Amino acid sequence: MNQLLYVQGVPFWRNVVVLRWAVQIVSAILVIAVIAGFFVNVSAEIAARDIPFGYGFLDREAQIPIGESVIGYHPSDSFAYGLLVAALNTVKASVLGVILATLLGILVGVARLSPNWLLNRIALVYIEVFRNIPLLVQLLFWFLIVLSLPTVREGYIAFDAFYLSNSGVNLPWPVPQDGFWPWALATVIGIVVAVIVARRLHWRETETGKPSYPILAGLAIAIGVSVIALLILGPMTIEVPTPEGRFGRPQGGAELSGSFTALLAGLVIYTSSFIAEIVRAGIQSVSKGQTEAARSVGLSGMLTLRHVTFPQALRVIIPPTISQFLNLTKNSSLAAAIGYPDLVSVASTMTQTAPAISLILVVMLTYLAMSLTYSLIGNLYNRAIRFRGT
Amino acid sequence: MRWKLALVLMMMAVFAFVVAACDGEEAADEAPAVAQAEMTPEPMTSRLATVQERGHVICASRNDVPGYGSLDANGRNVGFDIDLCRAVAAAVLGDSEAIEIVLITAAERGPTIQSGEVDVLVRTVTWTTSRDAQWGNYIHTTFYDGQGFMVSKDLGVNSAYELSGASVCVTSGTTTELNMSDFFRQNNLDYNPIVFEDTDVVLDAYQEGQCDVFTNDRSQLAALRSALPNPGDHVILPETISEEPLGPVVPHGDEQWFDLVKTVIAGIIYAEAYGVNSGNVAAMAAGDNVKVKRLLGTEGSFGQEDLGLKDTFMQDVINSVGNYGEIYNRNLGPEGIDLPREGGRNALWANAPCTDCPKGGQIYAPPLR
Amino acid sequence: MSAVTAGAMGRPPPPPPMTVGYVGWLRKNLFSSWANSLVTIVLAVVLGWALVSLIGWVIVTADWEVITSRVQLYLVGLYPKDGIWRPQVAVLLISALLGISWRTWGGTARGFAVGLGAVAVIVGVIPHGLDILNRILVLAIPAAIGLGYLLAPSLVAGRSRRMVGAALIVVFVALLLIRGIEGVPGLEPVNTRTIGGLLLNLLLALFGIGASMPIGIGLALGRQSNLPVVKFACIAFIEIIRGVPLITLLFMSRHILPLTFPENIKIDTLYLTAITIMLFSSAYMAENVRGGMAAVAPGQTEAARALGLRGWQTTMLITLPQGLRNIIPAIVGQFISLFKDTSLVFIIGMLDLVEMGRVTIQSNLEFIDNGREVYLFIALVFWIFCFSMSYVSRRIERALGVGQR
Repeated sequence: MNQLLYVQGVPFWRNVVVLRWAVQIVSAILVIAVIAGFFVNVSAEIAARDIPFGYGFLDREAQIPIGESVIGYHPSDSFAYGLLVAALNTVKASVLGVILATLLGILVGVARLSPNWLLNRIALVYIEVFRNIPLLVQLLFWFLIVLSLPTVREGYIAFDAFYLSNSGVNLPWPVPQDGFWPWALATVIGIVVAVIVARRLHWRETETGKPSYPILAGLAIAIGVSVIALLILGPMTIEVPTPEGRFGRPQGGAELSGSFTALLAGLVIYTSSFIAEIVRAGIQSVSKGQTEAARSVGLSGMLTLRHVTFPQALRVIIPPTISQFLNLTKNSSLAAAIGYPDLVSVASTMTQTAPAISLILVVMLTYLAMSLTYSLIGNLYNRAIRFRGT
Repeated sequence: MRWKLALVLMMMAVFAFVVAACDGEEAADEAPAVAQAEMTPEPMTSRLATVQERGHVICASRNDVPGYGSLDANGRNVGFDIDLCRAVAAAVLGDSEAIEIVLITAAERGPTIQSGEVDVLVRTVTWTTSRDAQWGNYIHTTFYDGQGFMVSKDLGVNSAYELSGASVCVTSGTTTELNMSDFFRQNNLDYNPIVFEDTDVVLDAYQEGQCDVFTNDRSQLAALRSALPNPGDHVILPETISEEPLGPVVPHGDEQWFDLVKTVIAGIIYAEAYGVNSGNVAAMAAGDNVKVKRLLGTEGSFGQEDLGLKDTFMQDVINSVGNYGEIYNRNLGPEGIDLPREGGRNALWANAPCTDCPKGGQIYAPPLR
Repeated sequence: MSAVTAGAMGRPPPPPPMTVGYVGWLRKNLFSSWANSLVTIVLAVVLGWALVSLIGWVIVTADWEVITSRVQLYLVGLYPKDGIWRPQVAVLLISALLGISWRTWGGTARGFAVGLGAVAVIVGVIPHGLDILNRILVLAIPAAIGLGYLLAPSLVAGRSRRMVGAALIVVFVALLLIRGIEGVPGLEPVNTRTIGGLLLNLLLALFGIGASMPIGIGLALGRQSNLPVVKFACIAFIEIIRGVPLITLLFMSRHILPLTFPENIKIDTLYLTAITIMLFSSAYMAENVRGGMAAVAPGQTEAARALGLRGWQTTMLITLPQGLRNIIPAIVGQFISLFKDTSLVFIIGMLDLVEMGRVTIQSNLEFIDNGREVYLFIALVFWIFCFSMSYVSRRIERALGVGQR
């Protein structure tokens, strides 16, 4: 009411409230018109030109080869399942890549600030070499490095269980048995209890000042529960890879294929060179007084970095790092060049028997979902540390 | 400040460039009606008229397979598929250089020919029924291929049925992948497929033993095998697991253009059967063989008028591109990737003067009359 | 002060021999503790071994014919033979510009001019497959740099504004030369499909970064708008574009975007690609601009409001200009990324430098084993461009004092 009184006498075309609404409505109409126009136009044209489009293909048999799968795959599975397999392959590369690239990036970023001149320069060269060469070329380079290992029949074998060759790495791997789900439940309960205990101990530590080792205690509880349940329930057996057949390729256990290894190496090294620069800039952004204060209270260089500089730098580091995670995920779409069946690679194989445009749309949506997830996690984490920091 | 100014002005320059370029575009010789011909059931402008007005034939093809479509050192498109496109250009426009090659990836073949933006698709496209129904009209098989396997000799494999447990490398985007999948599934063989984009990477993986088997069309396998350091160390297994009839495709919806391209392809095969080649066109046109004279347009007709072509268009085609045999030899034969032809499926069915003694090949043209 | 004291007291004692000179430097920087020494030795051995084997391979094993026989394809793609002088003249013009900026600005520009000249002389002189005409053209580059250097006083007279003007004229003329002008004999427009190789990468990246500036700024302002509809639309656009791989965007632009135009308008693939890259780039540009504006001290806004500037006036006159200054390094960084990303246009059959390399290897049986040479060459070309740009970026960063306030 007050506001209305205030604006009385102002002509409506200069009334802020009216103007705001007018702009909003006009822009809403514009946005909707553009989007609707686009869809109407495109769908009309697709119909007019008989361009195949639609999602009826999703429950047909895919009948295409997919070399690697986290959840098993057979050519008689449906297109939808094939796409899921491929998307999980992309997720696998992305998640492992993000973790390793972060670790390596922090290492190189810290090395960049090392007092050892050679290490410092090498970190600089590392950054300047790897971030200035197109990733595709780097992937092919790492693939050639993997290929230069001996073949699977002449490869390195350790304990008759670990195999390393240019076809990849084969390791013994647990296979879930009947007791798996009860064991998983017991482990989860153990973790929950451990977290509660750790929090209590942490609280006691901060309140009373008595050292209570909350992290150690928590870990002990979680691991202890899990191991005891493992021994009682026997939920898993270990499968050891053994060479089979004329071609001597190890079957069973877990396999990291040569293509995947090369892809991971390429993605991790390329992305870590960007993260290293972010980390360096982040650490340098922390004011010098902080470091000096930490050193003057007797913390060593490493401890200063860990407890004083790095936590403060994190706030500057995280947002651009998240965008590197997105880039890594999207860059994994180059995997087809070195034979890893990621989402784009599998989808492009599928275009032979399914509508290309529908498939590309599925691919785009999947990547979008992954990107938004990373953004979300990053933003939540950033908010959390911001809250604690101020 | 200086840098900001520079950036802003730079932007303006780039915009000016685009505007200038667009102006040029409107006036350029691109006829805007290509897509239009496909829009309506009754074409307003026939594709032939469009092509003639435009002044060149647009073919979708590739440049990454030796023998079929590649770039020579001068950046000129060469290859068997490209020559078929040149033959069409020579027939329609009298100039085998009046072509524009649109490079497309395997996944783009469908959308490209469906939208009608190209006149002919010649990109080692296997003729399958669903593609014929969905993509466009298949013309004529110009090359018969089939998929095979290559393995290193010291593995001691003699048959594709012994490939259980092998790791198999293949290039993506072709029926090759699907055939491989079908074959191993049908025969209950365990295998590990690795799909690459580029042939050279497959070859690296094969040579270094990451994969035991390389599968591709047999013609490609033979050519690649000859490029390996020791071709004798590798063997192509006897089984052919698929039919790969390759040929040009034209967009749906223009019967005249469909027939025209069909006739040009038939013409070059016919010319080989009757011994007409780029060296003797003039002599043959003035000679006394009635069938040859009809082909070359110096006597009678085989429907040139209905197709909208001039009577002597085959003279232009043979003069500039040659007959089927010449095209084969130049690209796939001794002067190209050196695939044997005699006795194989890609030999002629028969030479003309000797209709009673078939040579056994499947390359055959309908009578031109 | 201390020098006076020292002089009064006679020569100061020399520093201990182990802390000065090469030995001192080595001790301080490489061998300051046993851990450091170990790191130094291990790294030196590994690095030395890698370098020796790489150089050995480059000189002895590698067969460079796959590069030298097709230099033109890698540089300009299928650009018409009879018009090849046009990009060549463009390169000479830009070399001359470099010479002018050397005289005008010195510093980084000098480094580039000398570097480019030296590379040109080396390429022009070393014995390899280049023919004599190409050698002369390569050797004309240092000549053009020298000419620019000599003419600089009369052309720009050391003034930065004129320098920028000269740069714009040169870039504009170069672009016109490459694309062609309708109706001018000898300068007929070329078919855009023939533009390829490194030229295509450069053109796309240049256009992408330049044209994405205004859109990016608009999106960034829209994202901060207090009108929910505008804000939501901008956020959606930015997040969607940033969330999907460029290759899928390119594929869509090639096969879906043409469907939205009226039937009789046929848009060239090159322009469709350029537009897509521009949109892709503008989403990243928007985030850069937003970051830059967020870094402007809040006191600036408060001061502006206190002076009675309206919201949009504050943005346009205070926050945005300062924000843009902050992000110049980020823009260069984005340009580097975009330049590398332009190699993804292979997905729609365009022959950029990388794709030209792949095609050359695959389509010629005699080159099928020369992948390493081609990819090393491509890596080197990209590296030179990207590294130069990141070097310039660091110089600007230092000159602006970004991160030191």
